[in-house]
Amino acid sequence: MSLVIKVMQQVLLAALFSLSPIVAQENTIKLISKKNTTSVFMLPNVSELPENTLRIYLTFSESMAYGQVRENIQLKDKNGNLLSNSFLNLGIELWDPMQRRLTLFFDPGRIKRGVGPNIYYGPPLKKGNDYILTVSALMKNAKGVKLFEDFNFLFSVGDPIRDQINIHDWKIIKPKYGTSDSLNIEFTRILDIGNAKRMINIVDHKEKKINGRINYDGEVWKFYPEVPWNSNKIFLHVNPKIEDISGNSIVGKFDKKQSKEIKNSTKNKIIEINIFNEREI
Amino acid sequence: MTKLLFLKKNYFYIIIFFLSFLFLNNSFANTVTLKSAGALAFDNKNTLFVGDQKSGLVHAFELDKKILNDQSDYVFGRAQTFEGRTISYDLTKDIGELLKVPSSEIIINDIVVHKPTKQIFLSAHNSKGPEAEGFIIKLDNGNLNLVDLSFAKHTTQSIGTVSANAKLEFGQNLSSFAITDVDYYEGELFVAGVSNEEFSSKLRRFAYPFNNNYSVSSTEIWHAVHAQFETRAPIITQTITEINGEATLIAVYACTPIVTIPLSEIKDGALVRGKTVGELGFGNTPIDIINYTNLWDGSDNFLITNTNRSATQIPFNALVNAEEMPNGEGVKPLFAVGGVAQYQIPLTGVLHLDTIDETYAITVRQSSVDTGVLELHSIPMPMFFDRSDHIVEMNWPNGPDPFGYNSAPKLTFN
Repeated sequence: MSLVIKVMQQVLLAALFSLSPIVAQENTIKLISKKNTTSVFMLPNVSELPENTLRIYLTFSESMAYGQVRENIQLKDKNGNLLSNSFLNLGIELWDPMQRRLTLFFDPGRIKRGVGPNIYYGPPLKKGNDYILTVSALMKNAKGVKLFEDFNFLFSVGDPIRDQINIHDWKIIKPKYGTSDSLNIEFTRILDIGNAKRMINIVDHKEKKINGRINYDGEVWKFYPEVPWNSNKIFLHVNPKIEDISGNSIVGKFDKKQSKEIKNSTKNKIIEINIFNEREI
Repeated sequence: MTKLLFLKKNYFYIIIFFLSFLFLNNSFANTVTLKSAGALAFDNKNTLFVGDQKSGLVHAFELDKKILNDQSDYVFGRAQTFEGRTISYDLTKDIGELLKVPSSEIIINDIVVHKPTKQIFLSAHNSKGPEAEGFIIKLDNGNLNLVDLSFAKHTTQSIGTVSANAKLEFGQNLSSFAITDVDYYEGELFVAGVSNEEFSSKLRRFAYPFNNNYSVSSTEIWHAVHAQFETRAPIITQTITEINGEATLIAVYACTPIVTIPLSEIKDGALVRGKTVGELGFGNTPIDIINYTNLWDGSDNFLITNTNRSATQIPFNALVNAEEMPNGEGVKPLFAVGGVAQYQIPLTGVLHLDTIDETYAITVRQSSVDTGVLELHSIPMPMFFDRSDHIVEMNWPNGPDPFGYNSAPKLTFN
């Protein structure tokens, strides 16, 4: 029985990998042929990242050991040449509490235009180029077992995102009343994966939070309600601090010009969007 | 019926028996477990603060004589001849034995000295996996001992980072806030950290004893390397001191500016613009900042340890009188060290540092023999120089001895 489950798991993993354009194909084949089934994914799971990408995530199918990021996670050009000083070295590693998701910050000094490291070294990612993010086979899980092989994530780099997030640009695809269909949002840019799952909430006409599951890997944001949609009017509550992949939020740009004024515009205000009109139901 | 009653009575006794065990456990066993133990600080008395990022808490433990022991008789070296003392040659191995796990699982997170007793405390984890628990370890005459925190009066303060919306589709909490530093100053605690889902400079300020009121402010800093205002760099290490009669936070940011911020400006919701007085240089990350008095000349100083550079010493007076670094339009970016006067101190490979007194500092550092091994080693101040770490002629037999080191009796430790 357990063998059947294992085979099914591997088939499922193979299916996942085949859907994922950023996972090198060789991994898929070897993953199935070996017993170790630890998988690694890069988020966002897209083929092209903006030039000024500030933050990405790596998720692991099991808990990993702390303290080995600097040695084992590297950015390379498409020919496999190591690109040093791409990531911000904070001295600490930014894992989620289960140590399955790792946050990687690109060096913000190299991303901001016209500033020292940006002028001197240029941005870590350059438009028009392809890159490989490698998670070394030497990376150990929480039990001290190494990954069976390098994981390589290939992506290309496109235009930077320099302006603030505008929620009016979002295309909202409404579900039908009484169904459990997902409510979908198509953003015009890649939002930060962590932010997009935490900072967009759906409430009903009584301001009560609607519970559900959010799927977002950089493409379409999907919310699946726990119970079928039963409110005529629902609202999206978007935290204005929500950031895109380049650190721009609703209230400000990451790549901000110097200003003499200090404005405290980051107070948590709620932005409401009327999703359902009663006459549409 | 009687039989049934008898059985019920027996059940009752059995339940009471087991309940009594529960009660005993709660009363006498170590009931304090830390989900994580990171940044450490002491107040001016006997309260140890422990940053616990996994719980989103700062713990305060009021230590008493059951835990605190005077270490004044312990010899940390001989400063006159620039000799420190290696207290543990393999700290992760020694702590591993204490916590009954392999040394490869040990993570040492911080070190702090209780100044009145000169007793050294360390925070450590017993695993590199997510199930790790936090422990506090102390030194008694050079021996590592686990601190039984159940002997201390314990209070906690939420750092307000675990958001109500943080539970995601599979119920897991993915957002975290790594506490990078905790500092106590006159009845208040200042907590700096880094979020794994935003790039921010938020500083949390709490009253102690804790009263559940706290403020969160963001600092906007002039960044000489970036040559423009940088609003959101996280603070890696900080210390608080009085400058011209005003309590001031000296903060060292991830992208290496040194910034002064008067505490009076750090209010809830405030966006504060700190005064950038120095720049530690690109391609480097600061680890710790401490203040110390140079006994040779009576001067006050700051010492900053770095990942990629040797340590930096900044005279207190230089910092007080430092001009704000030029900012605004037309200022060219600065790549090198700049601003306030800085002096290199030959201190590398130091992961954690605190002063024991005015003569010695304690370090968790890479062994000079094997950089993969961590040792607990005291270093004579104010030069932070240990003669044995360096290849100098004076160390050779029959070598020159201008300062009379070789004529000093061989150092033996208690």
